[in-house]
Amino acid sequence: MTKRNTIEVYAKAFSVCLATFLVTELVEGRTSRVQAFPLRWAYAFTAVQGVTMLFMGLYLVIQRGFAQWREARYDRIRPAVREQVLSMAFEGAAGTDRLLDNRQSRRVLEESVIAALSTLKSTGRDRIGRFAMEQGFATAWLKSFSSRSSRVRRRAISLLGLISPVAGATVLPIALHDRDLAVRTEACRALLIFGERAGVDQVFRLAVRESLLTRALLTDDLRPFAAILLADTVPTLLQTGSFEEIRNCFQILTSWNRALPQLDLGPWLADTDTRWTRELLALIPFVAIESEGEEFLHVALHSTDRAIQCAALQTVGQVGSAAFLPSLQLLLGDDKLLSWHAAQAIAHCGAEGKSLLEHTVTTGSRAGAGVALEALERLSMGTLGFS
Amino acid sequence: MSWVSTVFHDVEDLLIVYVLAINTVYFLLMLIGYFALRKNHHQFTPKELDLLLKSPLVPSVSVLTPAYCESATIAESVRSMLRLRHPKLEVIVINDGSSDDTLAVLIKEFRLYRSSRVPMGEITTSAVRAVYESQDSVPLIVIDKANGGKADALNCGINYARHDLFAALDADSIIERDALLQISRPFLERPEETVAVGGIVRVANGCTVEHGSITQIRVPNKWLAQFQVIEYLRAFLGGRVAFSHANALLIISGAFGLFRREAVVALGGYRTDTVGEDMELVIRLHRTRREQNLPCRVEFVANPVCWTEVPEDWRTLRRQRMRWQRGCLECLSLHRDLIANSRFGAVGWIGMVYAFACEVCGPVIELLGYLTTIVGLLFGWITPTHAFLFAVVSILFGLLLSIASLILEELTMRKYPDVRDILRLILAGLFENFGYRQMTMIWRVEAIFSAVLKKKASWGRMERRGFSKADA
Repeated sequence: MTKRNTIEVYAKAFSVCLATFLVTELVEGRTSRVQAFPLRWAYAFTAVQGVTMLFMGLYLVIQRGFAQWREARYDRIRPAVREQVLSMAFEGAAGTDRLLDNRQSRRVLEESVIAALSTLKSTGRDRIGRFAMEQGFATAWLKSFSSRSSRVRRRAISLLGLISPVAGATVLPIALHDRDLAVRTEACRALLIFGERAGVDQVFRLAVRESLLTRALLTDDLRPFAAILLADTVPTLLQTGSFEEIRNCFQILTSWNRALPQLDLGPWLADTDTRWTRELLALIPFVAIESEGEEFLHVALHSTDRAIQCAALQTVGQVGSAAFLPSLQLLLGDDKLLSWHAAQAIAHCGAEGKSLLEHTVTTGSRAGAGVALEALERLSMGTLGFS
Repeated sequence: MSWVSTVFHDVEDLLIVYVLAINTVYFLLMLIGYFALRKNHHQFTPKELDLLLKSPLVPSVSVLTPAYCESATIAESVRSMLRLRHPKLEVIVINDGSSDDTLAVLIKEFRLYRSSRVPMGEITTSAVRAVYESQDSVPLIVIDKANGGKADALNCGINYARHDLFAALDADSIIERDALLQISRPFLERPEETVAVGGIVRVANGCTVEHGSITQIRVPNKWLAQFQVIEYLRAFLGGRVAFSHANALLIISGAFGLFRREAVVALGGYRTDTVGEDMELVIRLHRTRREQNLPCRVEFVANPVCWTEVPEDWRTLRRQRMRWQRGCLECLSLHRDLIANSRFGAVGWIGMVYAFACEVCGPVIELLGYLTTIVGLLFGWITPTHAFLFAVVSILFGLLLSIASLILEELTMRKYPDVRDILRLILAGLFENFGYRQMTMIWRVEAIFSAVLKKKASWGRMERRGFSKADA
């Protein structure tokens, strides 16, 4: 019995009890011992709920008992079916036909096919994919994509995405516009598995429009396509995208955590718009830093926005250039957050940075000496970082 | 005496209608909870969890764990927290002036050294004696401070935390390994709006615990613990899911909640003058952010689980329930102007009104109902039909709510694998209505009176049995 059926059973039981009560009340209304109107309803409602509760309690126990019994039966045939599916994947051997005689075996077979599709790669997965199409599983999954339940649609997409581009070709582009975020993300991942240029491009464009969750989930899958994306998609998007899209694009590029020599940040560093300054600062360590980059960092370090200053200090720390030490020293003041970030950045600047910190410990203000001492300690423990 | 009889009849009628109404509200919350769970109950798949673990876009989390005289269990608890799966995690244990050797155990077990770590926050707390960090490559920080209570310890932890979010966890609880990632979901889906997220707290008594993880989920053997299993399911799967759906959630359990650090620091952290600091913080978040026209979303996520040990003796349970009720009263009193205040939207009209009508007035009126029924029956002032009706409305409905919560659990989470456990819980749902429910109601009324009489509330101590294989 499905969850939807459960609600239906409940609704039916409720209606039957309510109807019975109303009929009884109409017939015996005058002789009822409970005369007050609210009390009569209280009595009715509780009686109805009592019966419903009985039904529900029984349902709960019976369905769980049935599920356990069914699982026990499946467990008996599951190892044999799995073994045959795997042998088909590795050796191309057939022989599962005899297991398809009844519904029970078919269900276990579908389970085994899904497990194999999720774990196997290349030839093995292709074989199982073909088998799934031959057996009509793919058609069933395709059909389930029209379900109202987002969970069912999501499952359908994830399974179709494992079979082949042909099977998913019709639904994946539709799924990219699904109303449910999880379905859209699943479609993106399926398209990235196929790795076709147009699909990857589509996914990247969608990722910059979607929530942080989608971007976090797609970061790793998009990384192998960095070169393709940086050649065309990213520059186009940076020229034509909205503020959010550009900011999110920078965020994705940074999250790849890899060198991006092809990326030209020049025009962006010259731009005075501060809306994406923090994202740009995070990206600087991954691109070839030129004089304009250093200038940009100097300006950010003297910004009036504390968040931008902290981001700039983190970048300076990652770049580790001693050229910034005079600016960093100025920030070792009373502002705890800035001082701490400055001290961490200084600690990243080699021997010169270390001696500056040692000097601050002995001669600096109380706040400055504290953060300098912590930075020196982290340096010696090898735990330098910005958190 | 006929006028007495009339008065009793009328009062009894009113009480029956009230109890019926209140139970109907609970039942409706269950239904809303069911539909909300069906719609929003997304759980990260193992593959997604792996992807999130690799992503630098997931917000970093500081786990704050206040510890007071927990030497027996602290090492295992900290190990369990360090095993939590999250890409950017630090665990901060705040030793709140323990009189036992909690600190010594931590220093020995995790090879701690005295660190120069400086606090970033400026929330006023009791004096910090020392800060320790581990010499090993584990992100563990231990703060040793003078005793100041749980809220003070958490504030101290917030001061030293450096990550975007902080999770407030009880040292004696067990968090499922992926729980932190699962609970981060709203912060990833709606990063601009979400300020706090709560997870579900379940009863660990009876479960088998190995190396700080639950390996077998079972219903506890003792009836008192079984009653609490039902209670927790009812409260979390029904009430909190429904309130979260309406963005009117007023409480995030102190045992397991995730907060945006910046938002909490802006409020000055937890209040230290109330025993309901967890509820108070959430209400204050709603209040302040709405007053400042800032987006505010407080959510409840039903899949990340925190397992906690519940009291198995009546004395400890009484103390715990009285403290909860007292905390609720204090919060409502502190923020009474929010009740039915349309400026605060669903929080004012749904959350606060519900808390006042059901959590404050509920136990008093129900107790009044029991007294009126017994006295009325003894003196013949009410008819047996009325008495029967009251019993049916309060007890049968209570049973219905228990079964409904079990069904909700079965249709969504399905944590208890054995059918015998379900049967035991159904029986517990039946028997809790004969004695247990009435006792908790009396304690809550007692707490209301002690609050009115301005008696000082205290945390008291729960005798922990500790998690071990023997629990199975």
